[in-house]
Amino acid sequence: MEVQVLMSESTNSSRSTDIPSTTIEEIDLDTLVRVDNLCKYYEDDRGLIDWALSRDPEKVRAVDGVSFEIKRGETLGVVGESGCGKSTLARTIMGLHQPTEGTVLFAGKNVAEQVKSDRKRFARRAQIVFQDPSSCLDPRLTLREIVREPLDIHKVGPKPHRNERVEELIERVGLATDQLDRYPSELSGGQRQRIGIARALALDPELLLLDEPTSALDVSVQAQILNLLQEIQEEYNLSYLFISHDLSVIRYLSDRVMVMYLGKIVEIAPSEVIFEEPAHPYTEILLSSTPSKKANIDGKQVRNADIPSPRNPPRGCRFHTRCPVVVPPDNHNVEFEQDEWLAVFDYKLRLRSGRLDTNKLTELVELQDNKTENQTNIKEVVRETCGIPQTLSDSTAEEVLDDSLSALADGDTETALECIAVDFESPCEKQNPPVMHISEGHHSACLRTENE
Amino acid sequence: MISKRTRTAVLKELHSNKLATVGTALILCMLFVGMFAPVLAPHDPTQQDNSQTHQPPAFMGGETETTRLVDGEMQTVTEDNSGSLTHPLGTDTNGRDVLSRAIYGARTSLLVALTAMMASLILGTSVGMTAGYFGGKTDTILMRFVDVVLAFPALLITLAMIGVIGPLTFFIPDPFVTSGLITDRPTHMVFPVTITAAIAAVIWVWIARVARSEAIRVKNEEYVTAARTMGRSNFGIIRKHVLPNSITPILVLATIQVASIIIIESSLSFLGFAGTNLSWGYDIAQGRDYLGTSWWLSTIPGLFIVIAVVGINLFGDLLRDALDPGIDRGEV
Amino acid sequence: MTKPIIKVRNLKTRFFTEMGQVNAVDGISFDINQGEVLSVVGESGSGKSVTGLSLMDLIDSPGQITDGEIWFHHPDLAAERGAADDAVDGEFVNLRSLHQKARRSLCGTELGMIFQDPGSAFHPALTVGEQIGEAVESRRRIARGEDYDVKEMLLDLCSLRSSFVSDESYDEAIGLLEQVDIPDPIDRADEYPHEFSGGMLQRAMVAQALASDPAVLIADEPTTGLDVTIQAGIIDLLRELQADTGMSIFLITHNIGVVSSIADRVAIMYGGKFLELGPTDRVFEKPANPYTEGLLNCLPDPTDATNIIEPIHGNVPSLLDHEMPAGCSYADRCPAVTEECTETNPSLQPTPETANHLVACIHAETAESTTTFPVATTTPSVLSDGGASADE
Repeated sequence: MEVQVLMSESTNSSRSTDIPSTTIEEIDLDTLVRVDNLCKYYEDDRGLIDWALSRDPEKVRAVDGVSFEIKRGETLGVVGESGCGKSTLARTIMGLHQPTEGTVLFAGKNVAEQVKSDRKRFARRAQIVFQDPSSCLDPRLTLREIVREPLDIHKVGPKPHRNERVEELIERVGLATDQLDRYPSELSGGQRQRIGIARALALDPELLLLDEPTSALDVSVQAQILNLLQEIQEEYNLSYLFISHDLSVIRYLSDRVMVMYLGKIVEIAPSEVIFEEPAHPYTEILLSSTPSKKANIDGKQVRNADIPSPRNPPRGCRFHTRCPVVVPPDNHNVEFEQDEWLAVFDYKLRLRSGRLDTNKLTELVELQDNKTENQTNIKEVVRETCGIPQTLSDSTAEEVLDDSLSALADGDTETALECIAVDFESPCEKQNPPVMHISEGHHSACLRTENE
Repeated sequence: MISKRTRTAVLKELHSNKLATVGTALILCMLFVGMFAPVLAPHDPTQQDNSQTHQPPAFMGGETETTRLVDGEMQTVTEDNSGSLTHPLGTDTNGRDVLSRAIYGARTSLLVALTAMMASLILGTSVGMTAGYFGGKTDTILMRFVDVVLAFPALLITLAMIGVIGPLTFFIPDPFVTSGLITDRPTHMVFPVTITAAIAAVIWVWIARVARSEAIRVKNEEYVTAARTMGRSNFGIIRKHVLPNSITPILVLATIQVASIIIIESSLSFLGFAGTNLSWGYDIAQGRDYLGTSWWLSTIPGLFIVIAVVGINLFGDLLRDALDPGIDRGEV
Repeated sequence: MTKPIIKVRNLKTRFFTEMGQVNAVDGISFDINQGEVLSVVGESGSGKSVTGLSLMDLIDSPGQITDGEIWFHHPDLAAERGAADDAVDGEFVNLRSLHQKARRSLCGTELGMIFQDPGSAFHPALTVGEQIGEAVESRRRIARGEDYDVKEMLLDLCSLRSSFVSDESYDEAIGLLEQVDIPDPIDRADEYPHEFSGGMLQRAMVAQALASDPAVLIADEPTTGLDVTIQAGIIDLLRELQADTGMSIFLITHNIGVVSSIADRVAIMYGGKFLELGPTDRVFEKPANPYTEGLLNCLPDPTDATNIIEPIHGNVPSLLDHEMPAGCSYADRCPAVTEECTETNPSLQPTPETANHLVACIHAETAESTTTFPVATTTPSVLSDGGASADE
């Protein structure tokens, strides 16, 4: 049932550069952008100490093996929490960052190469609208100069023609031409965002990357901008990559939605499907966490409030530390009730992250009144902290757990972890979840999907 | 390059800030005095008159009785010690007019200060912008060099440079005298090249540091990223976005550095490295021995230095307030 | 029957800036009932944050509360001062006429506040536990009637004790961290704010506000800037805490979704005034003011693909006194504007169907005009009566 999201054959054919570009465009007329196994790692600057100890700088895996495509005229929404790499993705597609691995093909041509050889030419085809309306416009230029800048750089027509074009654009985004000689600081956030859109439209691009264009705006203004974006998309026949953390905005604008978590795509599907039949537990949680005027926040929630750092993402499925439905061990030695399993898994995570060391245990026991620090008490306290019942329903599991707890009580965290390493290992920790095809255009990366 | 908005802002600031007005007036005064020195100075600043030494300023009056040897006998003589309007601020040990010397001194100081400033502004901004915008190795190499220069005291470096290069001077013909409008004034201005170069060599690093941090700040703004996506070249971006948006603090710093240049120049002249003997610092050094009896010899040029430095600092404040693009000031 | 804990009457807060007088809060009146969540919703520049700061007496120059009363339910203090006092009305004390010191100590024990940006609300060089402990310690000292003045400060500086916080207070701080569901509170208390994630820090700030065991918690945009999964956790936490402690929450936010998940009643703020005030369900289902309606129509609905958003044209109005139009502040953006709107300034009036649903619009159907916010407690307050039905 497992299917490669993107047909690797066609990716290879379009990657071979000796085919003239026109032919490629004919091959896949529909696809404007194809992203193939894109990775972007940031490296910290190597400090003097790192250098002296010849340590490798830490890598931040902002985008880690992402593949998808954007069709002509469609809006692909990208949603995810902070640190999921959505902004980095946009900037890498735009050629502002060199990808660490993988390729971005724009109309069949490699963006990284294209940008190196002729940035200007690529600029006419793809533009970006930024999030922060206060920093996306040069405060020292008038609105006319700002919107004319791309035209000036590309020397589009004679000067009077450029001014005409500026006026046309300004009116299109809903501002009056008599505001053209004002400065950005005299405008409200929504008006600045309109200027940002006008500037991006000036070169008549095919693709617009919208990096959270409305998240800094008030709702009434956000609605204006969303409607404007919708209108100009039809008018200029644009493709959008629309990035947002707000699911309601995503649904309003997107044809397809891609959900990202810690640099990876967890689910991608047509908008309807994502919102009506989400397959990935993370998507479900995002949906139930998004408050709206009708729906309250309830339903599933994450187990662990903290988002792990992309510096050191969890192994296997990156969501397993927070997933409320993490898969129980499949080695048939032990059987778990789901609640028990989650508690035991929580114990394991705590153990692994070093949050249950000797000092910690002493403190925990001290917190309980009238208890001396002996093995039984420690075991009891740990069970209580992690919410594990006094005896597990499965006797083998109970044995394993008891061994581990005894080791922990003796102060040997490593052995404690070793005891449960094999028997209590969730498949989610072991393997990267394969990308599963669920229905037409709906893919999800979760082991549960496979099982069901 | 000065936009209408900048002009309005400067005028508005001048209007509302009294101290700024005073500062600007002082600077304009100094510039005027320096430019028209031959016209304004009542005497030739270099002309000596041994019969008129140590004349006090005009506002000092009265007679003093001194005992001295007259015709082989000790006599108490009453001397008329009051100043005269011929020498409004008195004369020095060689009978030269103190006011004229101070006026000509302004010329030297301003010439040195402005030239050194321009040189360090150009050098410092280029280095700082390049280091800040490009970052990485370029930044490390350039800024380590800057740090090395910064680590030495300014006066020490200048002294070393003067020692190595030697006192180079450049004579500029005085337009008023050459055109024949004014006679009996020095025919040339003396421009101390070594001193100017030495001062520029220590001042530019300050400019470079500020330029670099400003460039780093601006290059992370989204409009710079936007310009990159539009296909503008790196130097295009520096010229169009980074420089205009970081020039304010640089200019403010430059203005204030002019004041410290004047002080360095005077200190060097005081130490005897003037290259010219028409300088405030030189005059202070000359009058140092007579502070007890003829205090005006050192005090008058000292006062001129104070006025120039205060004026420039006030003007720097004005620039800082007026050029701040935060028009949103005062918003809730 | 719910009783009000805070009664705000005709509160006006102004800022005197270079650009002119800013009417950030322009004569608002409302009650916060005991044990309810009252939410103020508005766009940026509507004056909602300033309302919260005014309640806490945190308005600094160039701002000033120029008019109005803030009556706080505090029988002990009221009895102590005696009924003859101008600042006392029944069991209520007018915070505005209290001496600043008395008011500050009241803020430390009865009112708590959490801010939008927890990153800047914590001191970067002190551990989180110590900062929460400080709040606990302050409360204890106030309870003991201890003063902390210049003398105490100098003694403190000279003494060898390293910390203001006693061990008991620190332990209580750990307990508070546990109460706000921070895992491993003992370890976390010893960490510095930068070691906390945004959501955890927000929880720590809630713990700090709880330290004073407040009767009213003022939460200024507590979830703005947090990711949705984290936001959901914070909202859950506030709901739980409210149920456990019975405190009132005054929630300031721009996020209508958050309001509908937590608030009992909601006030819609615009241009420094309340345009609508009523039970949350009622206001969102049957908005009486065109602005509320417009605001709701602006929101895309994640549960419905077919909905179409209708933006309100124009921009959020300026609060500058000389730029404020006469009449209704929403008039220039309102689709139902008539000439009258620009002439008369509407006041909050009850709607005919529900007495506790108030609206400020001259076109809205309103019940007989009554004094909606009587100052004297002897007169039955429409609002506090209504609070009861809001809970049904």
